[in-house]
Amino acid sequence: MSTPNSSASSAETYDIPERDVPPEEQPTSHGKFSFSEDWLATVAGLSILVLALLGLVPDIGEWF
Amino acid sequence: MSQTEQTETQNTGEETPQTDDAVVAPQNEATPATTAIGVVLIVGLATLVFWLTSNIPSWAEGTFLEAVARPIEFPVYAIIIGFTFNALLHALGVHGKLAAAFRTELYIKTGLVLLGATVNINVIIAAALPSILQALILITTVFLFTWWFAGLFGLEKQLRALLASALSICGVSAAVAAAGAVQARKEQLAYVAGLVIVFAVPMIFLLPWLVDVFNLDPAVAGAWIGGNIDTTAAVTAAGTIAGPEVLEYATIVKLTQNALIGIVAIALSLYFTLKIAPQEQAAASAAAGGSGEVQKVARPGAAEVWRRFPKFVLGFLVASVLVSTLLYFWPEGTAIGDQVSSGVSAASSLQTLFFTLAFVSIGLEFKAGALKEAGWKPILVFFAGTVMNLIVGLAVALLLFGVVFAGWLS
Repeated sequence: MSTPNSSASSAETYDIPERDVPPEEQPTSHGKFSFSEDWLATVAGLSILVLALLGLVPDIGEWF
Repeated sequence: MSQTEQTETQNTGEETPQTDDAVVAPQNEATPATTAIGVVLIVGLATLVFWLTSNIPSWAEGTFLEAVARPIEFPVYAIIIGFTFNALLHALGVHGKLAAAFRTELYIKTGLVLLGATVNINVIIAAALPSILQALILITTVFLFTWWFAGLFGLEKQLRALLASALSICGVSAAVAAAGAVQARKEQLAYVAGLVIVFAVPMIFLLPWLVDVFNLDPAVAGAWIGGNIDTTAAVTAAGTIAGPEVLEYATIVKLTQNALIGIVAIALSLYFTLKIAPQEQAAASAAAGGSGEVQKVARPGAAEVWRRFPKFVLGFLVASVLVSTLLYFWPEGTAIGDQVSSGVSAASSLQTLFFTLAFVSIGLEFKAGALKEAGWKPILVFFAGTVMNLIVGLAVALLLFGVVFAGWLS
């Protein structure tokens, strides 16, 4: 934890970090949503949409 | 903390000791093979949900459950089935091995991008002013009221955002988008999704009956129903009971509200990034320090705001603009327009699949403790928000569709 005179040994001591390893980078941290899968989901979703618009993906809603 | 403990913390980069993980990991570790089995399992469970959602309404025909069966949508079956298999997999001791396939977040965000394809901006523009005005007024009022009321009960801000979004916009989809934007807990999303569906069912009968009692004009009735009932299936059911013209107005109003999911998700993300997250960070630092001294955390800069921005909302908007542009230049009835509509239908079915996978995953990873923590208060908040939505919705519908823009859409 922080020491009262941390400036002299700031390279060694470990003050209360302003930012820990962000919990939001860990998808399952505390069961919360995070930001780590956003780009993957965006690319996947748009890719699937383009394939659907090109008629390369069947309408699975008609199967049920 | 001693120097030795500090060094250990620095070396591991974590505060929890490694030894517990080392004991657990070998027995419960996922491998590519077990992950593949997990994927097959979750797809199989989603298929079961699809099958139940499609068939239960027809099985219930002619029984006392008929009216209730149809509006019970896939999230309910998905969570129940997921929860059942959660217990089964834990009992068999294989839950941990398969868990890598339970990618709730990836499934939901992919589904949200596909949802954007169903938002046709041209329809919204054609429906024009009264629908847009009603949507803006109702969403703002109901969102802020629900947010405030939930605050009186001390609910977590993330849960407040889910409740307010679900009530004010369009039920489950709005709650899903909000969950991603504010980093809610998955159990909170399951709770709110359940509330949406439970409250939607009685509204199917209540609103058409009140329409009769108040002798409302079809446009006013449709605007009231579309602006109030949270699920599309329930809006369709209520509109069908009330009459075809009512259904038409209700559908347009519902579509207009749905289109605002992206904007609300962006607004929520900015609010949580700029205001809530720094407060929580400062409080967490103070608690971790044990000094009680609140660490001041600088207001996030543009880079931090961008880092926290829910990128899937961009995908939602791109999907919507892409489809809307294609249908603007090649409307339905043209070869390309029909191809696009067919593609949107396929994308919509896949969106439902991804949401189903997500809710099954939530059930598979469900921890009842999170719900116990929330308790009964969200139910009360949802009830109060529903009442506010009914009152304000009727007033706005009467004003816009009955007076100011009477005959606008006829």
